[in-house]
Amino acid sequence: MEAIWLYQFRLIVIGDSTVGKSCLIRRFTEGRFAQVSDPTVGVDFFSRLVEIEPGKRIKLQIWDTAGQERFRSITRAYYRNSVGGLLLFDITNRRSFQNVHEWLEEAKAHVQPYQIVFVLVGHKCDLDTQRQVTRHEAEKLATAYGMRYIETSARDAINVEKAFTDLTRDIYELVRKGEINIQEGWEGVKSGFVPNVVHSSEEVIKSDRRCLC
Amino acid sequence: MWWQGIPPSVRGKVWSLAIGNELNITHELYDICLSRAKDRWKSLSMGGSEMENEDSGLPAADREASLELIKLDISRTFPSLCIFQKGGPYHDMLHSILGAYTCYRPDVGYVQGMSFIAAVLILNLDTPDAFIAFSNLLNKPCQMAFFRVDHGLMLTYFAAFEVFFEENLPRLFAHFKKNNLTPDIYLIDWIFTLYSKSLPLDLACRVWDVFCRDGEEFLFRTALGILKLFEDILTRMDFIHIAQFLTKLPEDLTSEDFFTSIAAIQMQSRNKKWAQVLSALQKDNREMENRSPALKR
Repeated sequence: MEAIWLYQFRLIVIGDSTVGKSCLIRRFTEGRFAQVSDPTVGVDFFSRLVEIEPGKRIKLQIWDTAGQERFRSITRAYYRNSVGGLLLFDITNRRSFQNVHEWLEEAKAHVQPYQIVFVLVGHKCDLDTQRQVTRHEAEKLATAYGMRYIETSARDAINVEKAFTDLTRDIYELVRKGEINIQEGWEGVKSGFVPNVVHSSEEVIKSDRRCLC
Repeated sequence: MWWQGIPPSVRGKVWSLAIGNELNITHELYDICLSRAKDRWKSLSMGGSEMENEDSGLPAADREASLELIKLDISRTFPSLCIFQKGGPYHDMLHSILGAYTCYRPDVGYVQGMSFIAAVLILNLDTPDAFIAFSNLLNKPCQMAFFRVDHGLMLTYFAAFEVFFEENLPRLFAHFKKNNLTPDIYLIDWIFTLYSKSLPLDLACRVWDVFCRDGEEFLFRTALGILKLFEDILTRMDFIHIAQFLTKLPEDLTSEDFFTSIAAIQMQSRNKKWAQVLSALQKDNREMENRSPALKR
């Protein structure tokens, strides 16, 4: 039996080819680092439960997309049903950082009428000696777009949990405040309660207070 | 013989003959393409960014990225076999074929997924013959549609697939619909790599055997065979589990169950064959496009 969860969030992971999208996800979902992994063709799927507060679990459905530019006409169709996204670049590859802007524009153009909460991830931070992108400039870019910035390493398991859980918490807050709503025909957020029962944001806040007190 | 599996000793030869050489590619042409590819690698490694651009619509940076990508992907092709990785016996051959292809077809270039197809061919053929088979194989309408990522045409293939899906497996079809599980989720990987990434290699080769004879139709028939084989489990799964299951098929598939299941798939829908259904859908699409030019890309 599957554990009970409060919500299911669909997250999409994007960024240039070979920045380490699949490795990051596998570290997060399988707890191990794959020395070599197949290139992703189209999209691969992962899932994991995250406990954001004691007893409050969110099920993450993670879409791992192909990074090669040629696949963008396929992957762009997947934005609109995602509530969150991890946008990766490789800190040792300047070009992958320069393309961040393009990825965001691409997402923005195809997510309508919904919205995606993005986190900018500077990956492979274990390779600090080969760094081509400073933390400062990445933070600046993230701030300009209103995103969090975090540096991760799948190899050394640095900040992998944090990248996913921070994003999950941010989305959860928006759902709780009613800024993101569950909608018929939208896969971004699903309720883990009895289907079709809409919980008003007020109710959730109330129950939340009870828990914290 | 086609369905029982072609003996490995003659498999490459049979594939070559069945695929044909409509493009009339000679060994000399392969050598020319390869030496051009080598020149580019050299100028890349010497840091030369001013590559001549006459035969490609791609900006130099993109092409550079694609040559770079080939290098990275080769080591990620069948990693468990440990023969395509740097220093492995087949590394250079795979590199050569993919590099030569980007010079032969700069308009198509290198697309992820290709390295798997080239690798399977290399395991069964000499490098120049593998190149000939590779180029001709990719030139088939279905492969061209996918590798050029012609989205409209791909959707037409998916729509044709769904016609036969509903006809053969109505219960599972309804379950997939209910869960918003569209064919792109699993077909993209299967078609791009001709099953060589998702099936055990020996089974993939046997799919190729029949595919060489029957053409693209067999790729979609195989997909339906897989769905049929796992119909009961799939019907009990939700979206994410189905998606995960189909993109990582169980490794303990037995060839007998597998091919029995494919054989049970009927590629007839209301007396129409695959090619007829596909061309009817293509015609509909063209008419739709003509009526609404605004939607054209």
